Amino acid sequence: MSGMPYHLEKGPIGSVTESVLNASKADRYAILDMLRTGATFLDMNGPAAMLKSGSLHDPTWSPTPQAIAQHGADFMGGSYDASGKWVPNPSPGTMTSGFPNYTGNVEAILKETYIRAMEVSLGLEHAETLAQQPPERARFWPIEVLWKCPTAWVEGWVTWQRAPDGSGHVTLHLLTPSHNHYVLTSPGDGRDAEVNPTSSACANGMWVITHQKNKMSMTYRIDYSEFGNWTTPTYGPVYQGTGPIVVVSPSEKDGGVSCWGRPYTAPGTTSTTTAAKKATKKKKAAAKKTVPRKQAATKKTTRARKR
Amino acid sequence: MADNDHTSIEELVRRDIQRGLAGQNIRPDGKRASSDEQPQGSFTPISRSNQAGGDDGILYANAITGGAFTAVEWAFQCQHTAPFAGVPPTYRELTIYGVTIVRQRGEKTTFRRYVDWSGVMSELGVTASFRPAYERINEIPNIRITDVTRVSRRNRPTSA
Repeated sequence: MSGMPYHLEKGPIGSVTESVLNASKADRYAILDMLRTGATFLDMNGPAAMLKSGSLHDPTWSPTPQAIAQHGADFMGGSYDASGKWVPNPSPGTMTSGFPNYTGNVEAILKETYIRAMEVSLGLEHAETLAQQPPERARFWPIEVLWKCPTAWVEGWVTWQRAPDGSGHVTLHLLTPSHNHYVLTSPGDGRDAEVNPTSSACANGMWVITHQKNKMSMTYRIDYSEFGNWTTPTYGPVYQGTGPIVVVSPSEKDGGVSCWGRPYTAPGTTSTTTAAKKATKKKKAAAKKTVPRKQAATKKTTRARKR
Repeated sequence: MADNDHTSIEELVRRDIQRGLAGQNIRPDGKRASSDEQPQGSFTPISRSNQAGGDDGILYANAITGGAFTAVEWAFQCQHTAPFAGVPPTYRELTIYGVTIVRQRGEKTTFRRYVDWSGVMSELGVTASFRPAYERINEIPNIRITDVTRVSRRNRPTSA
């Protein structure tokens, strides 16, 4: 997840995580069981196996599982010791390792957040197993994963809603300080963002509603004044919302979500979306080749008629 | 007290701090102002009998002068006891550091105060965001822009 210029994100990793967690009740419970019984959050053969998904990586160059795990450890600001215990860095991180102005056990927060979200989604009491669960509490609600950045410290949130018909959903929110990211003041300027969408026919959606532009300014200026007349400062920049209110659907690469999500695919295999894109590219290329031939044929015919 | 002979300006700056930050009803000459001129202060001085500079919370005020302009470096030890810049009272003790430039033009004296407000806000627990904001996607340093993105943006409607 690099360079996502919005405050709320899902992006490819969030989508693949949802794809894995929502695939089946058995798969979700297996991940829950691993986390409950002491698996490390970044175990590439355990709970983090989803990060090896072929749909997250270029099939011609995929990072090794070790590199993916290292990236995850850098994100959380710490490392595992020889016994597999997570050891957070003792001092605040940088923009690429950990988080500036923050130290804490991010691994433990993430683990507990995922455990709680999965328990809620399955209707389990905390630490209850599926075998112990009475059938009237059994359920399999979809889980959505969202990332909010920046906040002052790391938090995980689990929210859920049950509909009158008994169906429901769970949302897992990850809140972190900033992490080598910038933010766009004109949300419609994102890469391939859709401005003012009208249809919600897609299975997934993320829309941000704000002014067309949030203009940054400094309102506090130091100047000479009379005795005792102290100007109260404004801390940090001040934003002024300008232009009409816009509704923006960010692209997946900017932290939004694709219409039909992003499935988990076996390591080294491309996603269905990528395959579809390639097929479209081939069709377009073939069409381009056909057009000049047709144009040449038309020219010949015209010349022949003139003669 | 400063080791120079600009004590009158140093005293003036002390009183300016007392009135502006602590809300004390004081005039430039040190006399009490009328009650209808009561200023709003956000910080209560921390008085300690053994601290240098007396019981006004001001740890020091040292002047350097250059004719009509005098710079006075100061530190004010206080407690945050009333709303300040939208932050409700936290009752935290802090020291505010600053430099006041005193400009004297004829009979008129004005003040320009350079205060470490960033430090004050941190002491009060106000959080800072570290995501620099950009208006345009192609201004963002670590983001990859393709030609396709640029072309599609041209055709995008801009208003609701």
